[in-house]
Formats: sequence, structure tokens, C-alpha cells
Amino acid sequence: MEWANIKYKITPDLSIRAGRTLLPTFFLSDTQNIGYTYAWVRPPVEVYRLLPVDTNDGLDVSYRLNVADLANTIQANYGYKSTNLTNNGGTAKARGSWGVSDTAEYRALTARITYQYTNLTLPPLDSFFNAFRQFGAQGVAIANRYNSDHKPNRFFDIGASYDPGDWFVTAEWAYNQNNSFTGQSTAWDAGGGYRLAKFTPYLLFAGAKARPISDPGLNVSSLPSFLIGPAIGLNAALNSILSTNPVQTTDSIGVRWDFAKHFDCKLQFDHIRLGAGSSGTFVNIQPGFQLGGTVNLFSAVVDFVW
Amino acid sequence: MVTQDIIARIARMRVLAIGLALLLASHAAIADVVAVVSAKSGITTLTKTQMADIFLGKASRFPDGTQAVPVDQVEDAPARAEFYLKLAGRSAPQMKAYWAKIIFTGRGQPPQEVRSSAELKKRIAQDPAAIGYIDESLLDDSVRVVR
Repeated sequence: MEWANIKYKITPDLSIRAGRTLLPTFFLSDTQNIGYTYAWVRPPVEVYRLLPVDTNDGLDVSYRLNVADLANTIQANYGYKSTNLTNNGGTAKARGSWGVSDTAEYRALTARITYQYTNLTLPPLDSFFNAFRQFGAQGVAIANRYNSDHKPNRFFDIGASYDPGDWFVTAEWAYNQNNSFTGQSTAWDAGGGYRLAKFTPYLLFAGAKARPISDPGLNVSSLPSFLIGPAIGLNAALNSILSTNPVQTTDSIGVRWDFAKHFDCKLQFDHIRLGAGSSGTFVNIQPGFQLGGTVNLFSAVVDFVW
Repeated sequence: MVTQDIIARIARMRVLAIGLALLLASHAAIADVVAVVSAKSGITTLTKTQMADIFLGKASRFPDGTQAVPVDQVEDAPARAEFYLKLAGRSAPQMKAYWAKIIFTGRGQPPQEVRSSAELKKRIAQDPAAIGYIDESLLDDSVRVVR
């Protein structure tokens, strides 16, 4: 369940919500599950995967101020969230989360800036990192650096769109920093479209960079011979975890067709280039998958609202 | 030869310009949707942006600080499509997408709807805070045009 909150309007411009709300982290966060509200088939995955937690159980306060033609809304949130990750990825826990988001709307221009802090615990890899701890100081250092137990996570995002009606452009840049194996990531997207009656052809570009995506791991030369095998195995496992930190770019071309009242149909072609040694944003990697390759993806969706 | 060609071109452009002017004139005659408030309201003028902010739920007050309550015609009303195209440059599907965004995130609700122009005039006339839109040909003393 994504939304379950009660809203109380203190004045027409000041409101407070309690319960489960969407975190206003990304430019399209509020409606990333409602395809009808944007042109693309899906929000660009490079940016929208940066933060694994997208909702919050707690409070959020919103205040709107209109000055001349400018409508400015500032929103602050505080709370906690436990999220079951897809693909049997376990449970992510975000504790002591707080964030501030400011949205400015001036005529056809909308801009948003967000900072979100949370204390993040990702699914248990504790037993894996405890194995490193058996290898003395160098193993402990690796475990402390990469484990994801109660690690501060800082997220920053800035985005804008200009939509005078017949056409639109939008761009977004985001940064996430976590003192765990997920490391530091930056991601961006930029796109635009032109509305020709019921058809909206569009172009969309996106990219993500993350580090680290590899680590030398344990120095095996100093180990007794019976520990070299296990150490090499642990190093390989650590590197396969780090290789899931995405480095990729995607070029997309597509068209949205508003074919009936409250319905749209979208076709999109994505050309995805993975960075060297990275599995990009792909999950559930199967044996034989080529790190650093290219992928072509064709998508067709129908959205409706009522 | 070249002069003749230029004259021919100018003539074609004139025909085009006259055609365009006729097209615009007929367009204006078919549907001129105007924003209206109660005859009891103190509001006489609003800029396009001020009006758009009220109808798009971005402002809850008129510039003079009094409460503003926008009123919509039903989704299929031609006046509604015309009004939002002129006001915000957005087609009916674009407006639907706009409100879906706001409703689903609990940030607001679209204006209340009335079933007909007659009902709209009745609704507007009795409430100084209300603002709506109707076809210019349906104006009467109960409401006043806001330009």
C-alpha cells in the first residue's frame, strides 16, 4: 500500500498529513505509479532507483505561498519506513527519516529541490560481512566500510520542467550518498516532447554513475595457504555485489497516443549502454549475463485513469 | 520573370492572410468562453496567470485576499475544453493528467462540477467567492465577466 493518510487543512494554504505518504524525493515521485500523468513509459530508472524507499510512515507538513505569479510550496516530512524490496530482496528499513522539499511554479515552469536524510538498513548481509571479520583488521575494515546496518543516507535532487502546452522539456539531477556497499551515485535525465493532437513523440536521455563498483578486497598474499581459497571466494562475492551499483546511460525514443478518453498508449524504444564492469540497473542477474554490454529494450503500455 | 514570380508570391501570401483572418474571425464567433463571477463579487479583472492559478488549484484566494472557489462545467462540455485550452494551453487529456497527479497524491481536488451552463450561472450568482466560465452568448445580469 502506497498511500494511507489523513489530511487536515489548517488554512487553505497550510496542511498537515499523518499516515503513509509518498516521499517527494524525485521530480515525478508523487505520481511515478500513474503512467497517465507523464509522457514516458516509466520514469527513467537511472534516477528513480537511487533511493530504495519511496514512502514514509509519519507526518508531513505543506505550506503554500503565492507571490504575484509564483506559487511556492514547501513540504517537510518526518518518519520511518520498512519496505519489502522486489525480487525477494529482503526488507529495507529507513529510520529517523526527515526531508525538505520546495516546489516553485511560475507560469509554465515548475522546479523542485529536495533534500532527504534517512538512517538506512538494507537487507541483512551481516553473515557475509561477518565472514570478512574473521580475517583480522583488513577484513574488519572491509566489513565496516560496506555493511549496510544503520548507515546514514543523504539524498539530494533538483529538477525542472517547462510545459507551455504544445511541447515540454524536463530535466533532473540527483545524488545519493550512503556509507555502505551502495556507495555514492549520481544520476540525471533530460527529455522533451511535442504534442501533435493526440500524439506526443518524445526523446529521453538518462545516465547513472556509481562508485565503487569494484574493490581489491582481502590481500591474500599475507594469508596462510588454507585461507587463500575462502578469501578469494569472499572477494569475488563482494565484487559481484559492488558490480550491481549501476553505471549506465539510456537513449530513448517514444510516442504517447491519447487514443480514447482517459486512456493512453505508449511505445518506447530504449538503447541501454552498461558501464564497464557494471550490471547497470538490471536485477535478478542470470548466469552468463555480460557486464558492461548493451541492451535494446522495446516497451508498449496502456495507461488509464477514471 | 523574377518580378512576376515575386508578384505571384505576394498575391498568394495575401490570399493566405485573408484566409487566416477569416478563419480567426469565424473561430471567435463560434465559441467565446468567458470567465464569470457573481454580480455581487468585487472581482472585475484577473490576469491570465492569476485565473489559471485559481482553476489549477495553485491559488486558493483572489489577489484581493478573499477566498476563490472555482467551478467547472462537466468534462464533456465544449466550453470546458475551450476554456482550459485558452487559459492554460492544455487539452482535455492534459488536464485529466494534471488532476490525476494532484488527486492521487492527496494534494488537492479539482473544482466542483455543475451539469449545465444554467446551473453554473445559478451557482455563481449566489456565491461571491465562486468563479466559473460560460459561453459569452449565455451571459445575463446574475453574473459578471472577468477579463
